[in-house]
Amino acid sequence: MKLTPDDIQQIHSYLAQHGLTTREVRADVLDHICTLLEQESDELDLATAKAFIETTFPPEVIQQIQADTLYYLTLKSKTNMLKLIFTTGYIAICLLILGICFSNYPMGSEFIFYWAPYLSVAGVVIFCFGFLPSLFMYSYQRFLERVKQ
Amino acid sequence: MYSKELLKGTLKPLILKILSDKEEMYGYQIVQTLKEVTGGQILVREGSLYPILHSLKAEGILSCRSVFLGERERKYYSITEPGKASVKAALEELKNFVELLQSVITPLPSTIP
Repeated sequence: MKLTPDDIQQIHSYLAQHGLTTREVRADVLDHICTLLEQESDELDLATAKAFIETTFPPEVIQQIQADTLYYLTLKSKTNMLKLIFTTGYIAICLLILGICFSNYPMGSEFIFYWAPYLSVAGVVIFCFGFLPSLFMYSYQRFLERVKQ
Repeated sequence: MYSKELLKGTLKPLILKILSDKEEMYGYQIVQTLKEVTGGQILVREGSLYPILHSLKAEGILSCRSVFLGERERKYYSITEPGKASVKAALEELKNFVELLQSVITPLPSTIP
């Protein structure tokens, strides 16, 4: 089947309309569909071609391609974000516990008493400026993904 | 046809293997080559192929070259120079995994009580 620019534009609109918003993947899928149709018989009419596209690439498949692309592309950043959340959370809690314990440690030396408040402050700073922002950012990204789906 | 679960973890190395045998390929070609090589036993769905290709590109394992065919764009994927080491590692891992599965599925006669 020979595809006209108008046919290609219609396929493009069909993909965009059903949620394939990532430009690069849309270009790939568009080329894939066009190649598939070109392999078909020359006698294939537009109505049959449309039905063929809707069967091979129903809206749910298109949405799945988009969702999978986003998943794969953001997998690394999500993993890094989770690592940051857990690391900052762990360090902040450790510092806070150490700070509280050292400031009340009956056998503590002057050196420990001197550093105890700094440990607590460092714990609070990491908690407020490391743990909480990364947690909020991660939760916000998850929320946006859910809304888009 | 093999189950989706079996194919899930092996698709990435299989795509990389096919790409490593040729200089560059576009999506449809990859699907067809995999179909031919496996005698139609492994059919990659477009829904699985393109997200994987784009994630490999984002990781720097693949690079792509665009060619405009009139109104549409065709992207040829190829393995990058730094990506070649990742391909080798992925194929080695798959090979070891298959050998391990083989040893579990068909244990040596001496090990059977």
